[in-house]
Amino acid sequence: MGFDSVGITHELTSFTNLNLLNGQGDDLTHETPILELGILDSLSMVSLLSFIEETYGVRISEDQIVPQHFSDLASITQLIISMSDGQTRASSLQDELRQLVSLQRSYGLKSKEIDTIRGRHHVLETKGAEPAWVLLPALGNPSTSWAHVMRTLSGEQKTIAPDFGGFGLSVYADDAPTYRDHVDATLSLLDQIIHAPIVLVASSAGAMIATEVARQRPDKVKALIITGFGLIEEPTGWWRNLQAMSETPQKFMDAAYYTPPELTPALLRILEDVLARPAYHNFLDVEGLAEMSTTFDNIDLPTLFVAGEDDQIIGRKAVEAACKLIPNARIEWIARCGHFPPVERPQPFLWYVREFLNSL
Amino acid sequence: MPNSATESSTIKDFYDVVIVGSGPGGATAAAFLAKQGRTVLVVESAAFPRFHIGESLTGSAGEVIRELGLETEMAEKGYPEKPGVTVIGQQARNEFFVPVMMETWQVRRSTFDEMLRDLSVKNGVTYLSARASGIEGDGNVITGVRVVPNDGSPERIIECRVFLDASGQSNFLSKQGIAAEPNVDIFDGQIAFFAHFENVPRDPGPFSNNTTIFYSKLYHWAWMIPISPTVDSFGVVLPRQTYKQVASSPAEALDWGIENINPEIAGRLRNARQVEKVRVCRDYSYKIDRFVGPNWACIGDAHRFLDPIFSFGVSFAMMEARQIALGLEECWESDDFEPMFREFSLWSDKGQDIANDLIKYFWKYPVFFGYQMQNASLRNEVIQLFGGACFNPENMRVPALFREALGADSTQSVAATSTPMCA
Repeated sequence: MGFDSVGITHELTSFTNLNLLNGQGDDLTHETPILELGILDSLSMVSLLSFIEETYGVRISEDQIVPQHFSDLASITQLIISMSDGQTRASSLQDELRQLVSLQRSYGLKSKEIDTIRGRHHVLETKGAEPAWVLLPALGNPSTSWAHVMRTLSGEQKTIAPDFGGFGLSVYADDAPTYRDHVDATLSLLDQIIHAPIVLVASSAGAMIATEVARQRPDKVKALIITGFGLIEEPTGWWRNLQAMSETPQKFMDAAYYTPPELTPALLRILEDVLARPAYHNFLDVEGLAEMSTTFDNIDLPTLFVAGEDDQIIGRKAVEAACKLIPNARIEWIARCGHFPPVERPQPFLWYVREFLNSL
Repeated sequence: MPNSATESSTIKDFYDVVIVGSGPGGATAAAFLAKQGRTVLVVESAAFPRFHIGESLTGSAGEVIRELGLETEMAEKGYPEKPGVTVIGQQARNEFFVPVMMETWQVRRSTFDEMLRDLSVKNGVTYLSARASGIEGDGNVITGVRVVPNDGSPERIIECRVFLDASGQSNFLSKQGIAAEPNVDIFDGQIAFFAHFENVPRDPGPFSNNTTIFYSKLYHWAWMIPISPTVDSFGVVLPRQTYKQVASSPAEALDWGIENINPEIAGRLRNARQVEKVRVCRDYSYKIDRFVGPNWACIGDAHRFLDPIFSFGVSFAMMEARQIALGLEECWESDDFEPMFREFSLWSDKGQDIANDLIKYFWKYPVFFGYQMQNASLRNEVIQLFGGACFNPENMRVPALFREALGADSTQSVAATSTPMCA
């Protein structure tokens, strides 16, 4: 599909007039200095970017978000046309994810597929110093949920973030893997690609897989970083609660974030898809639920918990209870942060992880 | 503990270096120079300890403090170790964190400045409690300084080979007609209102020691700096026009800021106890173009102050002091100081111009600055520039990118209209 600059400028003009100027901007043209006039502020920037993404299927990479490209609507039109090069409008969720992954390449992240006993694993990687950090996502989150952290580390720190089977771009033979299947697949993946001890960094229920990997391969794991997880003493009640909180994507976002990101149509589609996936509902099968209350047993590794003070999914007590079970484990709390510190406060999260690893 | 000022009757008639002002710039230069075996006299009019603003240090100030051998004392004094700066955006809808690149501290200036002065005395510096009243020389080379001692003894002249003006916002050499007149810079016209508070809740863990910047809109912002385990410095900065509209006294302006700058502030100060009076600082953004001569230089605020938002002030003064002390070491034998001072002047201008563009870019393009600090590849460079790399920006992309984005604003400076002062 070709892009027509006159048409784009026209559409941007009416969008800006209607949504950013409440229809008061009849004299708005492609040359109006919208930055200088303060028409574009941080909130309207978010609406504009999601409008562009929705309308043209073009994702603007963050290093293109500089004043020169947003001084007026004509410049934004040019930016859209130049960024559309090679991008096509996502027609399915897999395409959407592939686009997200390919966007990460411009930050030096590599995307790889690796065959393991359960199927095909997709991983994102950065190059850098060892020991490698293996970043396990939260249940349902794709590897790109580590993108903020990985971009900062790119070139400095070796990291590997896999998609769990049934999520992201990993495909297992069975589309409804259980907790045990994920453990086996992750072990198989790590045995194949890891040859020196690693730091395991896990978000939310990804921590259940991390602790089991640590128990089964104690010589391969130097340290454990857990974020957004704790000891769930009554898994059934907790799971019921989470399902109630995930009733709608908006409700889930409100529970998971201190400042929920704007629920753009693309984000909404991804969330709705995840919440409907068999893999999401199968993870906490009978065994998975039973494992929740013993997740932190028999761990004797340097362990750091990084927790958001405003996490409504895993409360303060659950983190403190888990920390008590591991000798010499520590907790660092992050203010104004919900369930996903690596997404919501990636820089403080990284600061704490680095300080911890430096102290070992 | 070394005693403060020396009896004026025991002051000699000649020193290798005379420095006016014993803030961080003056005391740092004095400490380094005395260590090199120079005779140094520092002339200070104020009685120490005294209150001063400028409580947050960047990583490069931390480095100078370590070079001075003060690391243990900093810990003993209980100055908070600063992991970095949290910038909370408009309406507290987003925030970003900037780590310091080298370990550094937040300080209470009354005791910090006293500590630096005591160190220089220990290194052999002589202190005179006096007001500098004039300059001796031909208007180009400075041969001595006239001082009026605070003990009531008569005005006298003290001669020197090198003279350093570290008088801060008093701009001593400029007022003497030796250095140029200050040009008011783009950030002029803002007023800072500030006080110290106890019982202010902080972020958990090591981040309790962060500086927090609260952003509202163009030139409207506030700071919170923990300066001891129990005391926080809080300040509000407003353009003069806003001050006139919203408040009729500094205390009212501070209250207005608490309620209106950012929703994060009010909750933190709800149960706070104010432990210092509200103070005001205005007309603090200026630049003196000619600030060095054949055997003299102005350092720190004595020649330039940009804007307090990124805590460059004290750090730049200490970096400049060290730069001059190191440079002078090579000059005593030849007695030719001019090339060194000229080189210093270029070095300072280049570094401060880059820092100035960083601040201008922040104010002109806050949306983009915010994006870049959260995500983009420019982030690491900006963090380094904040940490002191403005003075050695080789192989960096950001200074050129920001200069380009700012266009004509990148070098903007208007003629002086008012005299800087601090109350």
